[in-house]
Amino acid sequence: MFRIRKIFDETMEQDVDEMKKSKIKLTGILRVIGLSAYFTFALTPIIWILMMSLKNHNDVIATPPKFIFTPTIENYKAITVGMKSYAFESVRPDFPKYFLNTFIIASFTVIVSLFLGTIAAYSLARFSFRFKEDIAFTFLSFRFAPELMVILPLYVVFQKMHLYDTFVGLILAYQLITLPFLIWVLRGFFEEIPREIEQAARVDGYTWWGVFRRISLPLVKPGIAAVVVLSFIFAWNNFIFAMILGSERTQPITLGILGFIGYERVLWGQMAAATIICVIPELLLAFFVQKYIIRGLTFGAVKG
Amino acid sequence: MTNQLNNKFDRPPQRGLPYLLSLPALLALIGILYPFILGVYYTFTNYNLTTSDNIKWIGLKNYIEIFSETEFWKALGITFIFALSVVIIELSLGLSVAILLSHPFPGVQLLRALLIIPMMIPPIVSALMWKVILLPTNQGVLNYFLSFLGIGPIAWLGDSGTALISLIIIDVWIYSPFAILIFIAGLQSLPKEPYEAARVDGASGWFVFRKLTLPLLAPNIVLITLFRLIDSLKVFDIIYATTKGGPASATATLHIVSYFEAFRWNNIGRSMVYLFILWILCFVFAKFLTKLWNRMLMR
Amino acid sequence: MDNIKFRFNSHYLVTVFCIIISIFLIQCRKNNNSTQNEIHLLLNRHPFTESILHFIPEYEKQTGISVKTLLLSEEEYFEKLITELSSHNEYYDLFMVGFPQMWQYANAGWIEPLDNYIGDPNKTLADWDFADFFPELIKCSRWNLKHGEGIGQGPLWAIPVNEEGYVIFYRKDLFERFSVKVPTNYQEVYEAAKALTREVDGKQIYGFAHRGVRSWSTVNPGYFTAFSSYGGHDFDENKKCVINSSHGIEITDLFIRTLKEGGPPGWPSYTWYEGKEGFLAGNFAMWFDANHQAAAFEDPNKSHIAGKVGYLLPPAGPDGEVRSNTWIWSLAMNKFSSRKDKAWKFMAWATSKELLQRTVPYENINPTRQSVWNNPETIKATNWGEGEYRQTAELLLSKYARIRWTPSNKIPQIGDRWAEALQEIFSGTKTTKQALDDATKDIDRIVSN
Repeated sequence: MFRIRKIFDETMEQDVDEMKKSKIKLTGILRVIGLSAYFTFALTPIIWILMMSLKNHNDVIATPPKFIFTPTIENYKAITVGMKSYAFESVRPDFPKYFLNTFIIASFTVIVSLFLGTIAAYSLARFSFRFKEDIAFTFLSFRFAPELMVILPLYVVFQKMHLYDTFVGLILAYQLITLPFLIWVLRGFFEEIPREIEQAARVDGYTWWGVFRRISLPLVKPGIAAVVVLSFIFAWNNFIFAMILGSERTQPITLGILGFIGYERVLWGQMAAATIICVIPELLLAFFVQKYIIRGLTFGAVKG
Repeated sequence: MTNQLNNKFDRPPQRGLPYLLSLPALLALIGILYPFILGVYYTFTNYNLTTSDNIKWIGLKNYIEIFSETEFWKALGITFIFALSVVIIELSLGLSVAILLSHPFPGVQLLRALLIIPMMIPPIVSALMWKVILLPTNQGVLNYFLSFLGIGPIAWLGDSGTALISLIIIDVWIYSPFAILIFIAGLQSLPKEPYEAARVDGASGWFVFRKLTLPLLAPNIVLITLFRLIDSLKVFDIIYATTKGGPASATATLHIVSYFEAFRWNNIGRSMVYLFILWILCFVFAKFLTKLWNRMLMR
Repeated sequence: MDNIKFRFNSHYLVTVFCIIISIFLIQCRKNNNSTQNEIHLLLNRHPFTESILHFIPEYEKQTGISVKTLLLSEEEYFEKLITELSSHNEYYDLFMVGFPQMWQYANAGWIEPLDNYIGDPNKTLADWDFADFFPELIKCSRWNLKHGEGIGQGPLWAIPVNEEGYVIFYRKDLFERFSVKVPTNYQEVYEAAKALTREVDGKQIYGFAHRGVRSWSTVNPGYFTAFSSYGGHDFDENKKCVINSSHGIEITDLFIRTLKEGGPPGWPSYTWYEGKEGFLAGNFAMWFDANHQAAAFEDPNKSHIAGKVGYLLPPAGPDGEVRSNTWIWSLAMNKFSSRKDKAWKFMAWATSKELLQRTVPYENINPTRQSVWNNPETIKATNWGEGEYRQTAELLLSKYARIRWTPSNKIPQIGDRWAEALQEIFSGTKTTKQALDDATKDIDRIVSN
């Protein structure tokens, strides 16, 4: 019954000791090669986008591609404060508004999901009751529904309920993206908590609620951090829900970025700059809880 | 601890409590999913957007029509090829990179932090950016690099032979970090004893990996497969932004065909059939995988 | 014990429920605000729409009506638009259409006919001057809702704001340097394309390019122009699809061969902007697309080829006739709008002589009003290729550019299927005849449904 978890670093140190003796050099070289190969693949496009965001249009479309160019921050200026470089580009930038919209939608989506999802996940993890597995699977199955299948009927419903083009409506619709994922993963976290701890607390006179609040919730904090980051990313990156169910008041950043495909040409530089800016909040969030992410997923997403 | 004691504590304090606790979440989701039922109803109608006042029940006609068309079976095949390749590649790539990253060395924290960036860019935007990188002439940076090796230019997204492969590359680029993260987590929570025993027995590294690490990681593999398989069966954003199903119909997955049927050709009835079948596929796979998962947790 | 505590705990749940419900209620109340003094526009990204955004504040000040706009890229725009209209949503009063959408939406009864507004002197001032629009463009905006006929008859569904005809842009410098003959028919286009697909100063150049994605918009420009010039039609008088006629097969074969042997690899992935950027970057010797793209080609700030571009009317077919296709962007009114008079007022303002003239510096070219086209400022702004541009554009407008599609509410589906056939031919999975035969069969089925 006891699931014994050894501290990771201890294991690793011993592994390293072990390898030092034998073939550390070879594995070291292989690792460097492997990692450089993967990270070249993973990061080159990012660097390319970054470079694109610093180029003027002529450099972006140059053939062969240019690696040496005079960097310009015009693109960033144009999308944040607006700038009159060519006549038709000087339209007041909507980008900051889209950014804010997405920020509101994504954060509240995650908060609502957390509220609704944590208790559901806890009860699914901790209590045994009839239809438990069915209910759990039902939650997961919401994630299967292809977006296009719900979107048109949902649009009609939203109009009737006056949820069309409202933040509340979108936050509700976004639950489809975040809630099932959050419940499913958090349930794993809660199951990981040794029952003995909770039992001891119950014997001490805590109610289940007390146990949940005082014992279980603090224990799964790293898990929650990990799941919040991933849910936030999913919500941040969605575009079709907001496109159909929202209008000018609630347009998200994804549509803002697609908007750089104009009729006369594509503003690649600005699009790249917008992409870079778009990633920043996610990156910040990920950095803040970075130490929790791996630990969180280690702790409970899966049972070893 | 005895099982009996466990059971006593597992019993909810109030019989209705667990239902009550799940209810808000369930309600929120069902509220959104009522349209889903409407969608299923539409599969039995001739609903066309341009004649929306006049929806007629036509029974199984849509299904019969679609099953008799080669487009459907082709789309089904492409969907499967795409989803399976993506899952297999992401699993193996994810595990390899996770193994390389799970040993401490200077800079490992930084690499782990950088890892997740591709996932943060909205997939539809990543796909657009990849399209620029993959331009068929030397205007594209990848072909430009390859030209130094004397290869190409390769048409990538513009050739029916390589379009699907290009899409797989893009998907792997975006979602491998997901697999890597979960594998790193799994590797870090491996129990130590079996490894010590294996070391005492003098087992080879490969043997240990195959007989110990892989089975111990099975739940991680199932988890990744579950989420990645479902999401890649439903793949939409990256194809929408790049090939829109072309060349000819080389990358027309079920979701893409249904998009064409609904938003471009207004045939909601037919579109919903495609989507409903897609939903059933996801459902069956997920049911199977969650069973597997539960069995593993029972162990 | 548990029971007592449970009751206490349920406060938490009750609170959550209350919060959710109250948010809903607040939401619902907020939506009852009167929006009668607003109009809402759904617009695609286009020089016309982007430029009127600048002038809207003036309009708001003058009239006291507040104008809300949503601007989307073309693809997303049409998806959004059809969702809005098909559910008879009154939210958006005005929107942009091309002729296939106009036919589709008019047929579905979603567009308000405009004749009554134009004819009513209380609603439209005389100096708005309806007769100033190019008659051909007004003709293209009328349809009697009968499939297969009736362009130019019936109600006026939209007001044109932008027109394009199709030309072959060609690189004068390359043609001269390698002494290639400027083509006068499609066979010569093929030969020139092959001759110019070569390395030039260490850089690979491709002779001929055309957009190629799997969409009806691929069929519309150069291909349909060539197809019509060879005497091809999409439908015959009996509304049967005839794209696989012998003329059709002949030109399709030649066209795709030109692309295959004298064009860039990966043609089926080329959107209009990738083709345009390829030409801008100097990778193509010929580019067959909308003539107003000249604005970008001739601007040294955006172009690597400024001053080197020639403008070639689409070559004639075997019978010596030039039959270019066209595209028109127009402003249309939502039939379900509850603020039609306000909407028309805005529409009349946005399509007035003065406003359309002011959109020209924002590259809203070609103008749809004769007075704007002949305005000295416009002449100065469009005097590209030593007058060649204006010359070809005028010829197209007056003589050659017509809608070549047979009116139908299913152009997108027909065109998408047609484009798929072209891609099949290009990738070699089917012969030209086979691909067009299959497409013909499918298109007949699409139309009969």
